[in-house]
Amino acid sequence: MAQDDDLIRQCIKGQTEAFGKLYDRYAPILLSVCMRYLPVRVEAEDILQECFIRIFEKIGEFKLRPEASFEGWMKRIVVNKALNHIRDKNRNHLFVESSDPGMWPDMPEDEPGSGFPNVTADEVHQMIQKLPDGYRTVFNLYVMEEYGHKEIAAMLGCSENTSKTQLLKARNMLKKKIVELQNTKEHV
Amino acid sequence: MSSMKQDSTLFDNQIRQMLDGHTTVPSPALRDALMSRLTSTPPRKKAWYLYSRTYWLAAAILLFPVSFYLFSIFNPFNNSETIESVGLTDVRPVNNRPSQPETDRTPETKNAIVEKEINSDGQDKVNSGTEIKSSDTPSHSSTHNEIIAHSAKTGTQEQPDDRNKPKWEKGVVATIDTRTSETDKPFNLFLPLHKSVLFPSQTNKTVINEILTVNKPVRSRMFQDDLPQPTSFSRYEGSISLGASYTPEIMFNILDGDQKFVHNAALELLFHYHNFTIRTGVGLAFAKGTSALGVKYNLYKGSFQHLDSLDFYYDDETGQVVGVYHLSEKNVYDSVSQNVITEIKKNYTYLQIPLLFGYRFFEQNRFGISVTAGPTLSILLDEKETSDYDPGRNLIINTTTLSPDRIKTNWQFSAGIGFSYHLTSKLYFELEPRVKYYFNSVYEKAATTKKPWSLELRSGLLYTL
Repeated sequence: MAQDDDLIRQCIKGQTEAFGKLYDRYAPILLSVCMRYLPVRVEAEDILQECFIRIFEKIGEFKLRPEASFEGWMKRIVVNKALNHIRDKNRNHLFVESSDPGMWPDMPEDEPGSGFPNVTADEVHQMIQKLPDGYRTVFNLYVMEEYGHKEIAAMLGCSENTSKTQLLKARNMLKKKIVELQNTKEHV
Repeated sequence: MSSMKQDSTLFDNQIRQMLDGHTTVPSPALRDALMSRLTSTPPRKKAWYLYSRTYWLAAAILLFPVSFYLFSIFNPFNNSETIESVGLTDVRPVNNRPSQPETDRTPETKNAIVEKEINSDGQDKVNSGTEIKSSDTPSHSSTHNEIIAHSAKTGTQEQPDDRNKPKWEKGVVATIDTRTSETDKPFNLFLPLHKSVLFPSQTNKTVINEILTVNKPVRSRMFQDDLPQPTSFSRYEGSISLGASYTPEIMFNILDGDQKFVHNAALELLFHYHNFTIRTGVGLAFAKGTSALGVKYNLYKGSFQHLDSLDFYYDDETGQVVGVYHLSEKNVYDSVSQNVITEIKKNYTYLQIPLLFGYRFFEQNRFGISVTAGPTLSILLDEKETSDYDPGRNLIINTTTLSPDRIKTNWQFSAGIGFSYHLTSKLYFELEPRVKYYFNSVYEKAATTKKPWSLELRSGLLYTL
């Protein structure tokens, strides 16, 4: 992205107008990422503001490697900041530690590859936001950020098994909600 | 089970695709608040060595032609340079050069001009004006600082063809032994080893002396005890050199937390055979990096005095039974573990064993250029971790390193161009820009980065045995 390169160069020189343009371009994407972790909008916007301050401070250290993605770099900052916030907020009760299979929701029957007809990205986004904190965090890290269970366990200070069970529960809950929404729309 | 996993992967992919590029528009107030904060927060400048690798490559490529240009300047057999160095303007070609008998020198006279009469028997004819000529194999082997001027009489056997040529009744040939001139001027790289200067016989001795004294190229005292060989400076044949080197290195394709700069120091052993060299030795490489460390701990809540035991004894004086409480302090920790990610600094020390093969393709006077290439084995000797994290009185349950560790051994291939300069006949200095490619990633988790490569500049001082 040549435009990005120009803007980054100007930001490094301290031009806040260029940073304003950068904000306009990427803030909606980053807020979406942030709100996947922090469903409360005010909270997410506070974190996003902190992230942009950090991006502005650290932008001179970016482009260590030409193949590095600027958007990816900013997303990492947002995810890390959001995770730290979640950790601080939910010190003792991020996860409901239980391996009782009876607590798991039933797996809805769906056909692989069928996709989610009648379901929009906004609706899926909202469904993820409504997941319990632990489910949501692990689901986001595993599915969206593509971390492994070992890394998630280290990040969140839990066991790998906890990460796996939280993911399974999150996935099942999300599937169930999607199917329910699809059914509702079909009946309407 | 397999179909369930496939189903999960499919579901994950569908979610990922749906949310890829999803946006949520932030409130306008957020932008205003951010911009007002930014005006008071200047961005950090990028470190100079982190600029694009293009600049480094350009610098390396430029080095090559620049070096050739420098060597073309330093060519001591360039006559035009010699003319300038003695400051004469009227230079004409000569057909027959007068011979300069060895026996007529007066070596005891330093920085002096000694005139000598040369009987002209036809061989000593001087048919043109002033000549300045450098000799590759000097006929004078004097080690004194001397300027010998020969005055030559013209011959009587004048050829008819020579009638139109300018005639000189007398010629003065001044031979400068440039190797041993002593002045306070610095060592002159443009200097050939010997020069012969032929002046018209009318030229005043004092004028010659002034010209040669004022503009004479000189070498400093530093080099006087060790004179370069007149024809070849190849001193290596079948010999061994020992030395030490320091090589700063800048690495690419490593993790963001790791420092780009690596310092290498080595003791080197070189085997020379004609123009070929084999270089080996032992070296140490010092690298630094940072890593994220996940710390799981239980929060310290406080302490209490725990009653370990209770003794009773009878006090004779008071006639009462007295109890003695044996207490110890016990800490209380939160039963729920918490997690924090902190940063640790790592220092790596590698043992390096190179095996580099070289070929010297250019050699002139004190300078030489060679190409070297070969593998280097690195073995991790030591890894130290330091952290500023203070757990206080919290109870550490465990720690997990989130960044991959470095591997214990790796192979590299390096290639470079070496420029050598002889300070004395045995002691020489080498400067060698090199490119190094790592055959495997330096990290245990190889997928973390691409294979690293680096640019380095080796500087070494070697002594030939």
